[in-house]
Amino acid sequence: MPHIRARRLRAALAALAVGALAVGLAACATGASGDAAGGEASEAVYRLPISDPGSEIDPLTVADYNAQIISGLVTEPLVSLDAAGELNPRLATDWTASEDGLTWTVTLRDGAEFNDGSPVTSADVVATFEAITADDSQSPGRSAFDGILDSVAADGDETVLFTLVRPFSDFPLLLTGTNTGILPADYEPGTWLDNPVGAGQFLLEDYTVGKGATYVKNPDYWNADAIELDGVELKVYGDTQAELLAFQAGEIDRIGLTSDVAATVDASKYDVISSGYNKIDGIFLNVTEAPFDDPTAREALAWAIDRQGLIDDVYEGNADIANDTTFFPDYDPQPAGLEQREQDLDRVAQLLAGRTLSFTVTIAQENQLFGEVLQQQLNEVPGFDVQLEVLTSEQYYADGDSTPWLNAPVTVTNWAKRVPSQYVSLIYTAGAAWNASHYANPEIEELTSQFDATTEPAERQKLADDIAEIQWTDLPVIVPAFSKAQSLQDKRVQGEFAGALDFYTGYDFAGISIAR
Amino acid sequence: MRERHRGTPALFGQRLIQIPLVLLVVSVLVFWLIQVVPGDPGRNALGPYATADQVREWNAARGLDGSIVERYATWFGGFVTGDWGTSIVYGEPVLGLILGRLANSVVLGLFAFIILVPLAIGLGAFQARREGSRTDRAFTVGLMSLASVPEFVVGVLLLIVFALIFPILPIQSGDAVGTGLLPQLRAMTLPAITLALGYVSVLARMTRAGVIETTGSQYYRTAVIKGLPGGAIFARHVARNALIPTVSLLGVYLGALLAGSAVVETLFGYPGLGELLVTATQKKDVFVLVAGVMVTGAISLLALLVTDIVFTMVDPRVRFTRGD
Repeated sequence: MPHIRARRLRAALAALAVGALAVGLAACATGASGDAAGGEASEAVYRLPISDPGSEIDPLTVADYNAQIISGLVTEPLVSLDAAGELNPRLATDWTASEDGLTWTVTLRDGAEFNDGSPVTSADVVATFEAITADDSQSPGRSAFDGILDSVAADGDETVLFTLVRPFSDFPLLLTGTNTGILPADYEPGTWLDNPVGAGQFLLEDYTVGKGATYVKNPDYWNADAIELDGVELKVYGDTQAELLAFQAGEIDRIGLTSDVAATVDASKYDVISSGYNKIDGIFLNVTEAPFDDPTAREALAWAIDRQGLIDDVYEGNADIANDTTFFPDYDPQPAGLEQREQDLDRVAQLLAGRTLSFTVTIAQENQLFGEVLQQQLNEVPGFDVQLEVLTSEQYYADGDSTPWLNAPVTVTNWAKRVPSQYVSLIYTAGAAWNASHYANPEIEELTSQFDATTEPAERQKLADDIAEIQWTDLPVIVPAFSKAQSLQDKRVQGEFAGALDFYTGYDFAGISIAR
Repeated sequence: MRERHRGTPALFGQRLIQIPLVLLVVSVLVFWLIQVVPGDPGRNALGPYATADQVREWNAARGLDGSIVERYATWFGGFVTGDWGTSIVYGEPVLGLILGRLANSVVLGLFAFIILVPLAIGLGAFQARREGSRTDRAFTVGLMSLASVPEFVVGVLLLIVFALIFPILPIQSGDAVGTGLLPQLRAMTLPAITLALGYVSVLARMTRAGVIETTGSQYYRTAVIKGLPGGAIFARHVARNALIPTVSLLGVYLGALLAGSAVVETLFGYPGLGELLVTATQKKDVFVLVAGVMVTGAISLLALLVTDIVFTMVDPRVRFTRGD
């Protein structure tokens, strides 16, 4: 009898303990979800996933998406781009070129303020661009202005004069690029997190390394009425699986639509959002080494690629077929008169004339899927024997004269969207730092210089046709597709983003709201 | 008793000399090995579009351009005087960064330990009581299966069940850090259980074996024949003898748990030392990495020392002499 009593007592105690634990967890859960619900009811906060930026947060030097967004939500550029690629006035209200195309006059918005209450003046713009382009600047944004911008000067408090080395008709587009958020003239590089200053849409409330950042709306933003959100929250996820689960559990509002996500998530439960083109994945052929020192080998490769297959298998259909030129489809003018390349095996056989092209495609890990699909496609074509070498980003972009991404016979590198002439100066120009093809053709450089110098539409069209024809014919770089960003978004978010989803042309949450 | 513990202070002194020497070797190895890993911290920070000159200047500004011996000597001089340098990735003082993350890892590790110990010992004792039964065999198979599943998989499964299907616990644990006891305990529950489950099977197995061996001994039978109550027999005879091998393992596990888990912390987004060291390795943040490895190494070695000391107290047969 005492044994039975003891056993019952133990069972009762165990049940009590389990019950207490369950009640405790439930209380925690209820309390927390109650808080969350309360928070959602009272605050409209857009929650974005990021990875640990792994770099100092300074608007002048941030280099990757995760670091850029942390400061980019607080700072404001002169202009940004909308989803259609049109210029969108921000701190600048007007920009005009001089007749010789060598001076751009930018008028600043009246009444715009930094979040410390001081007005945004021409001195601040001058200081920001001088910091970006200085000889000792460590800003990745400097490369966009190299060989183009000569000097910046203030003309009164509200006007800035940009003097160029050579005429550049797309100069305003450069003002939308990396690191171009305007900072006060007295800003000390490296101190931004101590005093997160800017004239942007949000104020940085808290940033914890490895955890994330929270922002509240900047009530003094020049266009504060258009900002319907109370804030933005960035959450750090170190693991893509956890990020996906967090999206499914409603902890974040958006996730990039990759092939993994598409295979896991029921997309019909969410809004599929997309914005303009964001990058090209260029196939760079080293034209100084066999087999691609032979133009017919380059052409055979270009005709062997199944571009639609790449779009379906790599980009989930969210890209447009490209024709080996660097004119994005939303750029004006569009080159005309070129035959659209598609897979043509008869032409490949004719060009190869019985040869077999054996080569290795060297790629960084983040492009592994692209490399695998490309390898598979080509190895199915008679006359190709393709190997794949996948390197970590650190190995692929390693510094030094023999860095793989600038020296291997065939590489695949993604380039963020730029204007066509920038691509020429960065990757097609003889001796350019990132000319991975080791290509040289003075004619394309001269044509591009003329293209940059003119604003006359017919002349620009003719020059665009000529530049594109050289790119298409010489083929130092095969451009198979123009990629777009695409994401899944929680249905509680309403409105459309004005610019690119990955914000590479400016952070703009105007018109975005949260369903209460 | 006094005789038995006479060697303990000597052991303690000996280890206190050995530990810094081991850490010194570890720091040299880490400092050297991180140079071998491909990649450049300046390139990592500034991205592929920065020029080679910009990368060189960035490295020079952070003291990364001298010879490895010179850099190590500078770092070591600072480290022993309390100046652990500045993270080349985050721009924050390394000491504060490491200690902050260590505190988070210690809290999570202790929570996991509190779950692990009673669970493993309870399971092991339960299995021993039912040795050879179907229940014993079922638990053995179950625990061995659990041991063969990686932490990452266990963690994802727990997230799917308790954060997605039954949303009572959060996916991202880092959000709750510093927000109060209850929210933090709630956020740490899944990572702590994942950590504990990673160790439970071996510990339970060892406890089971210890209990079976003890209950088969003559002194146990004598105690039973003497008519001692079950609780007294377990506390005085079974637990004390059966748990000796378990205690040695617990020390090792405690050290590992407190030093942070890269896999679990990364999966659950928990801002601990393990997660920090993963980023430091990827970004070649040498000052954070070498200091972090020193700290985790020190914790593991101190945990082993504490284990040895506890050993002498629990097991009357253990005596340390010079040279042990």
